[in-house]
Amino acid sequence: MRGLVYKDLMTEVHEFKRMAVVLLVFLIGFPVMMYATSDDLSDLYGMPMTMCTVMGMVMINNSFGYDERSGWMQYALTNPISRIQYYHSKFLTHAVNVLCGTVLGLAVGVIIAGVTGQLTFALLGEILATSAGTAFALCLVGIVFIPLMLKFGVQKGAIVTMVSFASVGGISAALVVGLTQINDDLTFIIPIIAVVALGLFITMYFLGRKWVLEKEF
Amino acid sequence: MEFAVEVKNITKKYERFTLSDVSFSVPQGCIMGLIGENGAGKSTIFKAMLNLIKRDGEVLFWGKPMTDKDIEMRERIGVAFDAICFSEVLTVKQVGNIGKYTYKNWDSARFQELVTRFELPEKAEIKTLSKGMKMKLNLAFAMSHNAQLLILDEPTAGLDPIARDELLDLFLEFVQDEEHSILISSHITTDLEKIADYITFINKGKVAFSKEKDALLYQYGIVRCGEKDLAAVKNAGCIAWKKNECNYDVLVEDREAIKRTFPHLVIDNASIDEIMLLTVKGERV
Repeated sequence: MRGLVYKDLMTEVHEFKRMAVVLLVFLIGFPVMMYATSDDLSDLYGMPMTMCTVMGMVMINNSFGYDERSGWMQYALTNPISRIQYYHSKFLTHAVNVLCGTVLGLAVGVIIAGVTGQLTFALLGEILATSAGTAFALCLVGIVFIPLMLKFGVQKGAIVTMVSFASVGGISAALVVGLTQINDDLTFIIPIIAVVALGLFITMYFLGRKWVLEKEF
Repeated sequence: MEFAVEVKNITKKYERFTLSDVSFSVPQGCIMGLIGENGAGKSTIFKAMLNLIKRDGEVLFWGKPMTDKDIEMRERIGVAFDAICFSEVLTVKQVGNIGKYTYKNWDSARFQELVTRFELPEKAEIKTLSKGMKMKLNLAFAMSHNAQLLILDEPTAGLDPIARDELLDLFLEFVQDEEHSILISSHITTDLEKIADYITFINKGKVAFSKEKDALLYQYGIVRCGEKDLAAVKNAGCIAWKKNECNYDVLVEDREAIKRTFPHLVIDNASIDEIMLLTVKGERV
Protein backbone atom coordinates (compact mmCIF):
# COMPACT_ATOMS: atom_id res chain seq x y z
CA MET A 1 0.00 0.00 0.00
CA ARG A 2 2.99 2.30 0.52
CA GLY A 3 3.60 2.38 -3.20
CA LEU A 4 0.01 3.43 -3.90
CA VAL A 5 0.05 6.24 -1.35
CA TYR A 6 3.49 7.35 -2.55
CA LYS A 7 2.21 7.46 -6.14
CA ASP A 8 -0.83 9.51 -5.15
CA LEU A 9 1.19 11.92 -3.04
CA MET A 10 3.80 12.47 -5.75
CA THR A 11 1.03 13.21 -8.25
CA GLU A 12 -0.56 15.61 -5.81
CA VAL A 13 2.72 17.35 -5.02
CA HIS A 14 2.92 18.14 -8.72
CA GLU A 15 -0.60 19.58 -8.63
CA PHE A 16 0.13 21.44 -5.41
CA LYS A 17 3.10 23.17 -7.04
CA ARG A 18 0.73 24.44 -9.72
CA MET A 19 -1.81 25.61 -7.19
CA ALA A 20 0.73 27.02 -4.71
CA VAL A 21 1.04 30.33 -6.53
CA VAL A 22 -2.70 30.92 -6.48
CA LEU A 23 -2.83 29.92 -2.82
CA LEU A 24 0.06 32.18 -1.92
CA VAL A 25 -1.54 35.15 -3.66
CA PHE A 26 -4.76 34.46 -1.77
CA LEU A 27 -3.05 33.93 1.58
CA ILE A 28 -1.23 37.24 1.33
CA GLY A 29 -3.89 39.14 -0.58
CA PHE A 30 -6.92 38.24 1.52
CA PRO A 31 -5.60 39.45 4.91
CA VAL A 32 -4.10 42.58 3.33
CA MET A 33 -7.39 43.37 1.58
CA MET A 34 -9.43 42.72 4.73
CA TYR A 35 -6.98 44.75 6.82
CA ALA A 36 -7.32 47.66 4.44
CA THR A 37 -11.08 47.57 3.98
CA SER A 38 -12.66 46.31 7.20
CA ASP A 39 -12.67 47.39 10.81
CA ASP A 40 -13.68 43.97 12.05
CA LEU A 41 -10.53 41.84 11.95
CA SER A 42 -11.78 39.18 14.33
CA ASP A 43 -11.97 36.49 11.66
CA LEU A 44 -9.02 37.44 9.50
CA TYR A 45 -7.41 34.04 9.90
CA GLY A 46 -10.57 31.94 9.43
CA MET A 47 -10.97 32.13 5.67
CA PRO A 48 -7.33 31.35 4.75
CA MET A 49 -7.36 28.44 7.21
CA THR A 50 -10.52 27.06 5.67
CA MET A 51 -9.08 27.43 2.19
CA CYS A 52 -5.95 25.45 3.07
CA THR A 53 -7.98 22.68 4.70
CA VAL A 54 -10.47 22.45 1.84
CA MET A 55 -7.58 22.37 -0.63
CA GLY A 56 -6.19 19.39 1.26
CA MET A 57 -9.55 17.69 0.93
CA VAL A 58 -9.94 18.19 -2.81
CA MET A 59 -6.38 17.10 -3.66
CA ILE A 60 -7.52 13.50 -3.94
CA ASN A 61 -9.72 14.49 -6.88
CA ASN A 62 -6.58 15.27 -8.85
CA SER A 63 -5.16 11.92 -7.97
CA PHE A 64 -8.36 10.21 -9.15
CA GLY A 65 -8.24 12.27 -12.35
CA TYR A 66 -4.70 11.14 -13.16
CA ASP A 67 -5.56 7.54 -12.28
CA GLU A 68 -8.51 7.63 -14.64
CA ARG A 69 -6.57 9.12 -17.55
CA SER A 70 -3.65 6.73 -17.24
CA GLY A 71 -5.60 3.54 -16.43
CA TRP A 72 -3.60 3.24 -13.23
CA MET A 73 -6.08 1.18 -11.23
CA GLN A 74 -6.10 -1.76 -13.63
CA TYR A 75 -2.31 -1.73 -13.73
CA ALA A 76 -2.00 -1.39 -9.96
CA LEU A 77 -4.12 -4.52 -9.55
CA THR A 78 -1.60 -6.53 -11.56
CA ASN A 79 1.00 -5.54 -8.94
CA PRO A 80 1.03 -7.28 -5.55
CA ILE A 81 -1.90 -5.20 -4.38
CA SER A 82 -5.39 -6.44 -3.60
CA ARG A 83 -8.50 -4.48 -4.53
CA ILE A 84 -9.23 -3.82 -0.88
CA GLN A 85 -5.72 -2.49 -0.34
CA TYR A 86 -6.21 -0.18 -3.32
CA TYR A 87 -9.51 1.00 -1.81
CA HIS A 88 -7.98 1.60 1.61
CA SER A 89 -5.00 3.40 0.09
CA LYS A 90 -7.36 6.10 -1.19
CA PHE A 91 -8.66 6.72 2.34
CA LEU A 92 -5.12 6.83 3.64
CA THR A 93 -4.08 9.31 0.96
CA HIS A 94 -7.18 11.38 1.73
CA ALA A 95 -6.35 11.39 5.46
CA VAL A 96 -2.76 12.48 4.71
CA ASN A 97 -4.06 15.23 2.42
CA VAL A 98 -6.53 16.50 5.03
CA LEU A 99 -3.83 16.38 7.68
CA CYS A 100 -1.39 18.35 5.50
CA GLY A 101 -4.11 20.88 4.60
CA THR A 102 -5.05 21.25 8.25
CA VAL A 103 -1.46 21.70 9.42
CA LEU A 104 -0.86 24.26 6.67
CA GLY A 105 -4.11 26.01 7.56
CA LEU A 106 -3.18 25.98 11.22
CA ALA A 107 0.23 27.50 10.50
CA VAL A 108 -1.31 30.16 8.28
CA GLY A 109 -4.01 30.94 10.86
CA VAL A 110 -1.53 31.25 13.70
CA ILE A 111 0.79 33.46 11.63
CA ILE A 112 -2.04 35.78 10.56
CA ALA A 113 -3.47 35.92 14.08
CA GLY A 114 0.04 36.63 15.43
CA VAL A 115 0.84 39.34 12.88
CA THR A 116 -2.49 41.07 13.50
CA GLY A 117 -1.97 40.89 17.26
CA GLN A 118 -4.93 38.62 17.98
CA LEU A 119 -3.09 35.54 19.11
CA THR A 120 -3.85 34.48 22.64
CA PHE A 121 -3.72 31.08 24.35
CA ALA A 122 -7.50 30.99 24.30
CA LEU A 123 -7.60 31.70 20.56
CA LEU A 124 -4.87 29.15 19.91
CA GLY A 125 -6.90 26.55 21.75
CA GLU A 126 -9.97 27.52 19.76
CA ILE A 127 -8.09 27.32 16.44
CA LEU A 128 -6.63 23.94 17.35
CA ALA A 129 -10.00 22.53 18.38
CA THR A 130 -11.69 23.89 15.23
CA SER A 131 -8.94 22.49 13.01
CA ALA A 132 -9.08 19.07 14.62
CA GLY A 133 -12.87 19.00 14.30
CA THR A 134 -12.74 20.12 10.68
CA ALA A 135 -10.06 17.58 9.82
CA PHE A 136 -12.13 14.80 11.39
CA ALA A 137 -15.26 15.90 9.52
CA LEU A 138 -13.40 16.11 6.19
CA CYS A 139 -11.96 12.63 6.70
CA LEU A 140 -15.52 11.39 7.20
CA VAL A 141 -16.62 13.21 4.05
CA GLY A 142 -14.01 11.13 2.21
CA ILE A 143 -15.89 7.98 3.20
CA VAL A 144 -18.76 9.26 1.07
CA PHE A 145 -17.00 10.66 -1.97
CA ILE A 146 -14.15 8.15 -2.42
CA PRO A 147 -16.56 5.26 -3.15
CA LEU A 148 -18.54 7.52 -5.49
CA MET A 149 -15.38 8.55 -7.39
CA LEU A 150 -14.40 4.91 -7.78
CA LYS A 151 -17.84 3.95 -8.97
CA PHE A 152 -18.71 6.83 -11.27
CA GLY A 153 -15.35 8.35 -12.20
CA VAL A 154 -14.12 11.84 -11.40
CA GLN A 155 -16.65 13.96 -13.28
CA LYS A 156 -19.81 12.00 -12.60
CA GLY A 157 -18.54 11.15 -9.13
CA ALA A 158 -18.16 14.83 -8.24
CA ILE A 159 -21.70 15.56 -9.42
CA VAL A 160 -23.16 12.57 -7.56
CA THR A 161 -21.24 13.65 -4.43
CA MET A 162 -22.63 17.19 -4.62
CA VAL A 163 -26.16 15.92 -5.26
CA SER A 164 -25.83 13.48 -2.34
CA PHE A 165 -24.65 16.15 0.08
CA ALA A 166 -27.28 18.60 -1.14
CA SER A 167 -30.00 15.95 -0.74
CA VAL A 168 -28.89 14.94 2.74
CA GLY A 169 -28.53 18.63 3.71
CA GLY A 170 -31.95 19.48 2.29
CA ILE A 171 -33.70 16.57 3.97
CA SER A 172 -31.97 17.39 7.28
CA ALA A 173 -32.97 21.06 7.06
CA ALA A 174 -36.56 20.16 6.26
CA LEU A 175 -36.65 17.74 9.18
CA VAL A 176 -35.23 20.34 11.56
CA VAL A 177 -37.78 22.93 10.44
CA GLY A 178 -40.58 20.37 10.80
CA LEU A 179 -39.43 19.23 14.22
CA THR A 180 -39.00 22.80 15.47
CA GLN A 181 -42.72 23.32 15.00
CA ILE A 182 -43.42 20.39 17.29
CA ASN A 183 -40.71 20.97 19.87
CA ASP A 184 -38.34 23.92 20.33
CA ASP A 185 -35.70 21.87 22.08
CA LEU A 186 -34.01 19.74 19.43
CA THR A 187 -31.15 18.41 21.53
CA PHE A 188 -32.80 14.99 21.53
CA ILE A 189 -32.14 14.60 17.80
CA ILE A 190 -28.35 14.95 18.16
CA PRO A 191 -27.82 11.27 19.07
CA ILE A 192 -30.29 10.27 16.35
CA ILE A 193 -28.35 12.31 13.76
CA ALA A 194 -25.10 10.77 14.99
CA VAL A 195 -26.48 7.25 14.64
CA VAL A 196 -27.97 7.95 11.20
CA ALA A 197 -24.71 9.57 10.02
CA LEU A 198 -22.68 6.65 11.33
CA GLY A 199 -25.04 4.27 9.55
CA LEU A 200 -24.64 6.22 6.31
CA PHE A 201 -20.85 6.25 6.54
CA ILE A 202 -20.72 2.52 7.25
CA THR A 203 -23.12 1.86 4.36
CA MET A 204 -21.04 3.99 1.99
CA TYR A 205 -17.83 2.26 3.03
CA PHE A 206 -19.24 -1.19 2.36
CA LEU A 207 -20.93 -0.07 -0.85
CA GLY A 208 -17.57 1.27 -2.05
CA ARG A 209 -15.88 -1.97 -1.06
CA LYS A 210 -18.44 -3.93 -3.06
CA TRP A 211 -18.00 -1.63 -6.09
CA VAL A 212 -14.23 -1.97 -5.99
CA LEU A 213 -14.41 -5.75 -5.70
CA GLU A 214 -16.79 -5.92 -8.65
CA LYS A 215 -15.10 -3.33 -10.85
CA GLU A 216 -14.12 -4.49 -14.33
CA PHE A 217 -11.70 -2.87 -16.73
CA MET B 1 6.17 -30.52 -18.78
CA GLU B 2 5.67 -27.76 -16.21
CA PHE B 3 3.54 -24.81 -17.15
CA ALA B 4 3.91 -21.22 -16.04
CA VAL B 5 0.37 -20.49 -17.17
CA GLU B 6 -2.55 -22.70 -18.05
CA VAL B 7 -5.61 -21.00 -19.46
CA LYS B 8 -8.58 -23.36 -19.45
CA ASN B 9 -11.83 -22.63 -21.24
CA ILE B 10 -12.08 -18.97 -20.37
CA THR B 11 -15.22 -17.31 -21.62
CA LYS B 12 -16.30 -13.71 -21.34
CA LYS B 13 -19.39 -12.28 -22.93
CA TYR B 14 -19.78 -8.64 -23.88
CA GLU B 15 -22.65 -7.10 -25.78
CA ARG B 16 -20.74 -7.09 -29.07
CA PHE B 17 -17.94 -9.52 -28.46
CA THR B 18 -17.47 -12.91 -26.87
CA LEU B 19 -14.26 -14.51 -25.77
CA SER B 20 -15.19 -18.09 -26.27
CA ASP B 21 -13.71 -21.13 -24.58
CA VAL B 22 -10.10 -19.99 -24.84
CA SER B 23 -7.49 -22.53 -23.75
CA PHE B 24 -3.72 -22.58 -24.08
CA SER B 25 -0.69 -23.22 -21.92
CA VAL B 26 2.67 -21.50 -21.60
CA PRO B 27 5.40 -24.00 -20.72
CA GLN B 28 7.96 -22.82 -18.18
CA GLY B 29 11.06 -21.34 -19.78
CA CYS B 30 9.28 -20.53 -23.03
CA ILE B 31 7.96 -17.53 -24.89
CA MET B 32 4.39 -17.76 -26.09
CA GLY B 33 3.29 -15.26 -28.72
CA LEU B 34 -0.35 -14.29 -28.89
CA ILE B 35 -1.38 -13.06 -32.32
CA GLY B 36 -4.62 -11.90 -33.83
CA GLU B 37 -6.39 -8.97 -35.45
CA ASN B 38 -7.30 -5.82 -33.58
CA GLY B 39 -10.31 -6.66 -31.46
CA ALA B 40 -9.69 -10.41 -31.67
CA GLY B 41 -9.60 -10.60 -27.87
CA LYS B 42 -5.90 -10.63 -26.97
CA SER B 43 -6.10 -7.85 -24.38
CA THR B 44 -9.33 -9.33 -23.01
CA ILE B 45 -7.48 -12.61 -22.48
CA PHE B 46 -4.80 -10.78 -20.49
CA LYS B 47 -7.43 -9.01 -18.41
CA ALA B 48 -9.24 -12.28 -17.81
CA MET B 49 -6.00 -13.94 -16.75
CA LEU B 50 -5.15 -11.12 -14.34
CA ASN B 51 -8.62 -11.01 -12.74
CA LEU B 52 -9.33 -7.55 -14.14
CA ILE B 53 -12.62 -8.81 -15.52
CA LYS B 54 -15.00 -11.50 -14.38
CA ARG B 55 -14.98 -14.60 -16.57
CA ASP B 56 -15.84 -18.24 -16.67
CA GLY B 57 -13.13 -20.86 -16.87
CA GLU B 58 -9.89 -21.30 -15.03
CA VAL B 59 -6.43 -19.75 -15.14
CA LEU B 60 -3.58 -21.43 -13.31
CA PHE B 61 -0.21 -19.83 -12.61
CA TRP B 62 2.37 -22.49 -11.78
CA GLY B 63 -0.49 -24.91 -11.23
CA LYS B 64 -2.49 -22.72 -8.87
CA PRO B 65 -5.41 -20.35 -9.42
CA MET B 66 -4.75 -16.70 -8.59
CA THR B 67 -7.38 -14.81 -6.59
CA ASP B 68 -7.45 -11.11 -5.76
CA LYS B 69 -5.80 -11.84 -2.42
CA ASP B 70 -2.89 -13.83 -3.89
CA ILE B 71 -0.41 -11.02 -3.56
CA GLU B 72 2.58 -13.35 -3.31
CA MET B 73 1.76 -14.84 -6.69
CA ARG B 74 1.61 -11.40 -8.29
CA GLU B 75 5.10 -10.73 -6.94
CA ARG B 76 6.21 -13.37 -9.46
CA ILE B 77 4.45 -11.76 -12.43
CA GLY B 78 5.53 -8.68 -14.37
CA VAL B 79 2.95 -6.97 -16.55
CA ALA B 80 3.28 -4.32 -19.23
CA PHE B 81 0.23 -3.07 -21.10
CA ASP B 82 0.39 -1.38 -24.48
CA ALA B 83 0.26 2.09 -22.91
CA ILE B 84 1.97 3.41 -19.82
CA CYS B 85 -0.32 3.37 -16.80
CA PHE B 86 1.55 5.81 -14.56
CA SER B 87 0.43 9.41 -14.09
CA GLU B 88 2.13 11.46 -16.75
CA VAL B 89 3.46 13.94 -14.17
CA LEU B 90 5.59 11.34 -12.42
CA THR B 91 9.28 11.10 -13.20
CA VAL B 92 11.23 7.99 -14.16
CA LYS B 93 12.87 8.03 -10.73
CA GLN B 94 9.51 8.25 -8.97
CA VAL B 95 8.28 5.25 -10.96
CA GLY B 96 11.27 3.35 -9.61
CA ASN B 97 10.32 4.42 -6.09
CA ILE B 98 6.77 3.17 -6.62
CA GLY B 99 8.26 -0.22 -7.49
CA LYS B 100 10.48 -0.09 -4.41
CA TYR B 101 7.50 0.54 -2.14
CA THR B 102 5.26 -1.99 -3.89
CA TYR B 103 7.33 -5.11 -4.52
CA LYS B 104 9.12 -7.08 -1.81
CA ASN B 105 11.65 -8.29 -4.35
CA TRP B 106 12.20 -4.95 -6.04
CA ASP B 107 15.71 -4.73 -7.44
CA SER B 108 16.64 -1.05 -7.59
CA ALA B 109 19.99 -1.86 -9.19
CA ARG B 110 18.25 -3.79 -11.97
CA PHE B 111 15.81 -0.92 -12.54
CA GLN B 112 18.69 1.51 -12.68
CA GLU B 113 20.52 -0.77 -15.10
CA LEU B 114 17.50 -0.93 -17.41
CA VAL B 115 16.93 2.83 -17.18
CA THR B 116 20.55 3.36 -18.20
CA ARG B 117 20.36 0.70 -20.92
CA PHE B 118 17.21 2.28 -22.36
CA GLU B 119 18.71 5.78 -22.00
CA LEU B 120 15.72 7.04 -20.03
CA PRO B 121 16.26 10.44 -18.44
CA GLU B 122 15.69 9.89 -14.71
CA LYS B 123 14.35 13.31 -13.88
CA ALA B 124 12.10 13.62 -16.89
CA GLU B 125 8.34 13.53 -16.42
CA ILE B 126 6.58 10.73 -18.28
CA LYS B 127 4.64 13.20 -20.43
CA THR B 128 7.92 14.41 -21.95
CA LEU B 129 8.97 10.91 -23.05
CA SER B 130 8.43 9.54 -26.53
CA LYS B 131 6.08 6.58 -27.05
CA GLY B 132 9.03 4.23 -27.33
CA MET B 133 10.58 5.54 -24.13
CA LYS B 134 7.29 5.16 -22.27
CA MET B 135 7.11 1.56 -23.38
CA LYS B 136 10.69 1.00 -22.26
CA LEU B 137 9.85 2.47 -18.86
CA ASN B 138 6.87 0.11 -18.67
CA LEU B 139 9.18 -2.81 -19.36
CA ALA B 140 11.85 -1.61 -16.94
CA PHE B 141 9.16 -1.56 -14.22
CA ALA B 142 7.86 -5.01 -15.16
CA MET B 143 11.35 -6.52 -15.25
CA SER B 144 12.86 -5.13 -12.05
CA HIS B 145 11.29 -7.29 -9.38
CA ASN B 146 12.63 -10.70 -10.30
CA ALA B 147 9.39 -11.76 -11.97
CA GLN B 148 9.31 -15.30 -13.28
CA LEU B 149 6.60 -14.59 -15.79
CA LEU B 150 6.15 -11.56 -17.99
CA ILE B 151 2.76 -10.76 -19.50
CA LEU B 152 3.31 -8.19 -22.21
CA ASP B 153 0.58 -6.62 -24.30
CA GLU B 154 2.01 -5.21 -27.54
CA PRO B 155 5.33 -4.20 -26.00
CA THR B 156 6.98 -3.47 -29.32
CA ALA B 157 4.14 -1.47 -30.89
CA GLY B 158 5.24 1.94 -32.09
CA LEU B 159 8.95 1.24 -31.66
CA ASP B 160 11.53 1.62 -34.39
CA PRO B 161 13.25 -1.55 -35.65
CA ILE B 162 16.41 -0.90 -33.62
CA ALA B 163 14.54 -0.40 -30.37
CA ARG B 164 12.41 -3.45 -31.14
CA ASP B 165 15.45 -5.58 -31.75
CA GLU B 166 16.95 -4.36 -28.48
CA LEU B 167 13.82 -5.40 -26.59
CA LEU B 168 13.65 -8.77 -28.29
CA ASP B 169 17.21 -9.44 -27.16
CA LEU B 170 16.18 -8.48 -23.65
CA PHE B 171 13.28 -10.94 -23.74
CA LEU B 172 15.55 -13.71 -24.96
CA GLU B 173 17.99 -12.93 -22.12
CA PHE B 174 15.08 -13.13 -19.70
CA VAL B 175 14.11 -16.70 -20.62
CA GLN B 176 17.67 -17.96 -20.92
CA ASP B 177 17.71 -19.78 -17.58
CA GLU B 178 14.55 -21.70 -18.52
CA GLU B 179 12.87 -20.71 -15.24
CA HIS B 180 11.35 -17.58 -16.71
CA SER B 181 8.52 -17.39 -19.21
CA ILE B 182 6.90 -14.72 -21.34
CA LEU B 183 3.41 -14.38 -22.73
CA ILE B 184 3.52 -11.65 -25.32
CA SER B 185 0.95 -10.30 -27.74
CA SER B 186 2.05 -8.53 -30.86
CA HIS B 187 0.87 -7.49 -34.28
CA ILE B 188 4.42 -7.60 -35.51
CA THR B 189 4.60 -11.28 -36.30
CA THR B 190 8.18 -11.07 -37.51
CA ASP B 191 9.14 -10.20 -33.92
CA LEU B 192 7.41 -13.33 -32.71
CA GLU B 193 9.06 -15.39 -35.43
CA LYS B 194 12.38 -14.28 -33.93
CA ILE B 195 11.70 -15.01 -30.27
CA ALA B 196 8.57 -17.09 -29.66
CA ASP B 197 8.63 -20.82 -28.96
CA TYR B 198 4.87 -21.14 -29.24
CA ILE B 199 2.24 -19.19 -31.13
CA THR B 200 -1.41 -18.93 -30.17
CA PHE B 201 -3.64 -17.37 -32.77
CA ILE B 202 -6.82 -15.72 -31.55
CA ASN B 203 -9.49 -15.12 -34.13
CA LYS B 204 -12.82 -13.49 -33.24
CA GLY B 205 -12.52 -14.44 -29.59
CA LYS B 206 -11.58 -18.06 -30.23
CA VAL B 207 -8.29 -19.93 -30.36
CA ALA B 208 -7.67 -20.71 -34.02
CA PHE B 209 -4.54 -22.66 -33.09
CA SER B 210 -1.92 -22.89 -30.37
CA LYS B 211 1.21 -24.58 -31.64
CA GLU B 212 4.96 -24.67 -31.51
CA LYS B 213 6.34 -21.97 -33.77
CA ASP B 214 8.74 -24.34 -35.46
CA ALA B 215 5.90 -26.71 -36.26
CA LEU B 216 4.06 -23.84 -37.87
CA LEU B 217 6.99 -22.59 -39.88
CA TYR B 218 8.32 -25.99 -40.90
CA GLN B 219 5.03 -27.84 -41.44
CA TYR B 220 2.59 -25.28 -42.75
CA GLY B 221 2.82 -24.29 -46.37
CA ILE B 222 1.04 -22.32 -49.05
CA VAL B 223 0.09 -24.11 -52.22
CA ARG B 224 -0.14 -21.89 -55.30
CA CYS B 225 -2.54 -23.62 -57.64
CA GLY B 226 -5.19 -23.11 -60.27
CA GLU B 227 -8.88 -23.80 -59.98
CA LYS B 228 -8.38 -27.27 -61.43
CA ASP B 229 -6.19 -28.43 -58.50
CA LEU B 230 -8.05 -26.55 -55.79
CA ALA B 231 -10.70 -29.19 -55.18
CA ALA B 232 -8.10 -31.93 -54.85
CA VAL B 233 -5.90 -29.90 -52.47
CA LYS B 234 -8.95 -28.97 -50.39
CA ASN B 235 -9.59 -32.64 -49.75
CA ALA B 236 -5.98 -33.29 -48.80
CA GLY B 237 -5.58 -31.20 -45.65
CA CYS B 238 -6.34 -27.63 -46.61
CA ILE B 239 -7.02 -25.14 -43.81
CA ALA B 240 -8.13 -22.13 -45.83
CA TRP B 241 -7.80 -20.69 -49.30
CA LYS B 242 -7.95 -17.34 -51.01
CA LYS B 243 -8.51 -16.45 -54.64
CA ASN B 244 -5.92 -14.17 -56.21
CA GLU B 245 -6.06 -12.58 -59.65
CA CYS B 246 -5.06 -15.68 -61.56
CA ASN B 247 -4.56 -18.45 -58.99
CA TYR B 248 -5.38 -19.66 -55.51
CA ASP B 249 -3.29 -19.53 -52.31
CA VAL B 250 -4.12 -22.56 -50.23
CA LEU B 251 -2.91 -22.87 -46.66
CA VAL B 252 -2.06 -26.46 -45.81
CA GLU B 253 -1.06 -27.96 -42.49
CA ASP B 254 1.47 -30.49 -43.77
CA ARG B 255 3.32 -29.18 -46.78
CA GLU B 256 5.56 -32.24 -47.10
CA ALA B 257 2.55 -34.53 -47.36
CA ILE B 258 1.03 -32.25 -49.99
CA LYS B 259 4.35 -32.18 -51.86
CA ARG B 260 4.33 -35.93 -51.99
CA THR B 261 0.72 -36.10 -53.16
CA PHE B 262 0.95 -33.22 -55.63
CA PRO B 263 4.58 -33.09 -56.83
CA HIS B 264 3.68 -30.80 -59.71
CA LEU B 265 2.35 -27.99 -57.48
CA VAL B 266 4.33 -25.02 -56.18
CA ILE B 267 4.35 -25.09 -52.37
CA ASP B 268 5.99 -22.23 -50.45
CA ASN B 269 6.86 -21.97 -46.80
CA ALA B 270 4.23 -20.03 -44.86
CA SER B 271 5.14 -17.10 -42.64
CA ILE B 272 3.09 -16.43 -39.50
CA ASP B 273 1.70 -13.36 -41.23
CA GLU B 274 0.46 -15.43 -44.16
CA ILE B 275 -0.97 -18.11 -41.89
CA MET B 276 -2.82 -15.42 -39.96
CA LEU B 277 -4.02 -13.64 -43.08
CA LEU B 278 -5.31 -16.75 -44.78
CA THR B 279 -6.95 -18.04 -41.62
CA VAL B 280 -8.77 -14.74 -41.11
CA LYS B 281 -9.48 -13.66 -44.68
CA GLY B 282 -9.48 -16.94 -46.51
CA GLU B 283 -12.38 -19.25 -47.10
CA ARG B 284 -12.52 -22.28 -44.86
CA VAL B 285 -13.11 -25.88 -45.78
